[in-house]
Amino acid sequence: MSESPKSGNESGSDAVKALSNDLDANIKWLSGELGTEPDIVIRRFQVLRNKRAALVYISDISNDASINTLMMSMLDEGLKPVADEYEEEPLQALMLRSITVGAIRQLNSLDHVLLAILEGCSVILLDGFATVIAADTGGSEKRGVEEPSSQTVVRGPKEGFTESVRTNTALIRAKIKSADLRMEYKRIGKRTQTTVVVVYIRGIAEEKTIQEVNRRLDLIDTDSILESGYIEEFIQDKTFTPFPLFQNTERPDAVAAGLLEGQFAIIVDGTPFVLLAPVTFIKFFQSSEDYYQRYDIASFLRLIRLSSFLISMLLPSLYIAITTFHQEMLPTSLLISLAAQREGVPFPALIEAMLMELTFEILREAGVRMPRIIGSAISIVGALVLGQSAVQAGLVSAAMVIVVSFTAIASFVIPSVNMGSAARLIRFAMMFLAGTFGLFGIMAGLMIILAHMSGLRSFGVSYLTPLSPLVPGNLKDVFVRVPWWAMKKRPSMYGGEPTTRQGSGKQSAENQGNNSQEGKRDR
Amino acid sequence: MNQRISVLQATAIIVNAVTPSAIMVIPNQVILMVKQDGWFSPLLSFLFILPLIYIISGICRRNNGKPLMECLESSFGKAAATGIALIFSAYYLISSASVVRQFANFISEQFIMTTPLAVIALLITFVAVYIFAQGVEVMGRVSFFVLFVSILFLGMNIFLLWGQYDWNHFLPVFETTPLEQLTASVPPVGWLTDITVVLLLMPYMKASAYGGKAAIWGAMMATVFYCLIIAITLAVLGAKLVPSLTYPVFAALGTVQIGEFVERIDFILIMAWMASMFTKVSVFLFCFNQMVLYSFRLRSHNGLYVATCLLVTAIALYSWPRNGAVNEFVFKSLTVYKIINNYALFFLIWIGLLLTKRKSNAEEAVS
Repeated sequence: MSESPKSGNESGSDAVKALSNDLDANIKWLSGELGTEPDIVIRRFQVLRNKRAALVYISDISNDASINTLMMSMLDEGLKPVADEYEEEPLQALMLRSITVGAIRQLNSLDHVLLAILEGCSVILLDGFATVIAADTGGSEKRGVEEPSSQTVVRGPKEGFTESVRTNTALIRAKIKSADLRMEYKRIGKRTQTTVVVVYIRGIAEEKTIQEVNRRLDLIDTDSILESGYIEEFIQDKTFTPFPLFQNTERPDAVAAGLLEGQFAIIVDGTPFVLLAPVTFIKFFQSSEDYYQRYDIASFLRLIRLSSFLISMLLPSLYIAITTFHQEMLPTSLLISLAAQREGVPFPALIEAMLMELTFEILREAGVRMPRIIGSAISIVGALVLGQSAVQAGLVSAAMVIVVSFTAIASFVIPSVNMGSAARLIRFAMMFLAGTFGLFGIMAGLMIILAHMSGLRSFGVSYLTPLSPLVPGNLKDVFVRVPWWAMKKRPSMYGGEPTTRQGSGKQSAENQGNNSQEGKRDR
Repeated sequence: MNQRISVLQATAIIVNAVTPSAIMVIPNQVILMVKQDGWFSPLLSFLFILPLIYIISGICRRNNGKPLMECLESSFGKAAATGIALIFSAYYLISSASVVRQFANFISEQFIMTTPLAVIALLITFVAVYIFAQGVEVMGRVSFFVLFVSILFLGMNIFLLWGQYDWNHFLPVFETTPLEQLTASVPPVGWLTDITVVLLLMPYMKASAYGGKAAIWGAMMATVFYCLIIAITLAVLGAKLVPSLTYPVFAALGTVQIGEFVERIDFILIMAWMASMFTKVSVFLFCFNQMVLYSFRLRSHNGLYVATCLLVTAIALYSWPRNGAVNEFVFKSLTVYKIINNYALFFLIWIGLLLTKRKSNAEEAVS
């Protein structure tokens, strides 16, 4: 039997409508609710010595082959003699002898029957019984497993989540073959009845955190959930912050790694983006690939990413502050060069930078919305027309174009799109502060950001953990990633005590070799 | 009171409350009196601060994690406790305002000359209020970060300045008389007395014994900072040049030049110093806020934060008619005010607590 999703809305005060013993009455009610659209199928037939029955389903969201097999087996059953022990239990007889579908369940209320049909189940109604059988024959069109579009890697798995919640749970189960892997199903959204699954590993994820996420999910009272972003905004710890408090990923390996570190995942039907929480600031700079390639390369790349975040957030504002207020910071030759470039520019550095940054943001947004074929045209317009021509026309200096371009490239280095967006948003505020107060303004802005980030929490976990509060044991995978064999304990920052990830004897072959050499010498 | 801070965070708060504005004036104050022996004065002042650390530890142990004013109220009564809270409110208000003005003056004189002082002061207070309004936990975390960055950048500057040091500037050693040394250790004692802020952090600490620990670690680190700053200033500029400069530390750091390209690297340290000044103002405003909340039986409210921001800015701008006046106040009056408020007053409170304890013990024995 498949796990039956519990609807947060079902537990409300609405009275449950019970099924009638009369087949015609039940069909009449269902017809009234579902309407007479051509995809609504109500197929009457006879089973078990001429007992009247009906199969109700929606053809567009059902699998034709499953339904045909189901119908054939039941019609075939109608011709066979019925054993005496099944005389009194015809529903049991159908379930035990006729229904070929694996996932079936019995339903007693009309609302649940309606919901099952809308989910893609085929419902078998039997005259004289106030219970129906719902067989899972769902099978609408869905996209296959493809390479994730937003988080590509050079080395690592190429599979990505799809819009189907079942495919997504299967992809996770394929990675973690543990009986402790738990999946709690919920249905959220009065009209969309979207299936939401909370995934965690019992014994690794903190129990309190799981209770809290379930509590927050149960409190959602909305008519629709169409993407995981809806859930994210409903249950995040703080709304007014530019920083993401959930990690979202299209990669099953990233989710599996998160679960193994003590995070929980939220899968929402209809989107390939799975949410991961609790999350810390540093998590947004870790890529799946960091763990598949050498630790030294991974550490170097991580430092590059962190630097890129700072560049993306601060470079234009530093340029504005230095060229406007603190020219003495620049070496004389560079200062003369910059002054010569800015000679004909009619705007102050702040306006010049704002113009260029806004132009870039418009170009980027256009590039995202445009069909891919036109994308190259946008690049040409951006690079040649707006870049080169603006410099030649004397509207902006060449140095500013370099600063804006480098900032843009740096923003793409950040693995998380959400964190990149946060840096973009903060950049504008910092530019304004730099243009008004110079380096002092930048420092004021940074202090506000630091205080803001220090106060952020994701499901009770401080955003800046393990840096502040300092958790020395968890620093092995922050700025640098130590070799796998050195990460013996799981990080404790997501709550609970750090559990052992690997035995103490599993060191690198090099170390094992050295140890054995020492052993030989001792002998 | 769910927020909790560790000893490390409390130590960082203390160091940030004691050090940043002091390093602007301490080299001048000390080197003016004891010249090349100035580096020794902070060490001497640390000895004088030990009794205060003992008092702080005693009060922390006695309070057992309760707020300071609650403890004073139970020992001296509501009226006396309110009176003490008002005295502390005034101290923290004046101290915050003087720090804001010092900071604003520095920024205005060194970086953004044309920007009105009022705007700079308002921004400083706004940032500080924002930090303390986030809670003690955030203040502790921010202080820890700032302290870490400050130590890192200070270490980097000490290394980069290596070529500029003239060790002859320290000679002859111990030329000054003990009386001169004692006199020169008074300004650092004044600045170090601000370690008493830890008493207002008590209810937020993970254990009551942490208060004393944080106080001693904070005082030790601040003393080391003072020694280093005075020593660097002396080594680079010499005892004769320092008294003629308004900001000798920054002048000394500004001499770094490596090759043709790397110069004015002191900006990096100044950025870290700015961060610690913001933190310092936030710590003082937090203390002021605590005292005001107790004195007037108020509850934290956004309106109160706005009012605090405007009040401190106004006092910082209009209490001293000239920039020179605030320097004069910091040089002369503030040290005495700090010693009276933090040392003498807490000494009296400690005596009072001992007496009330003895009295209550005697009453218990009689009953």
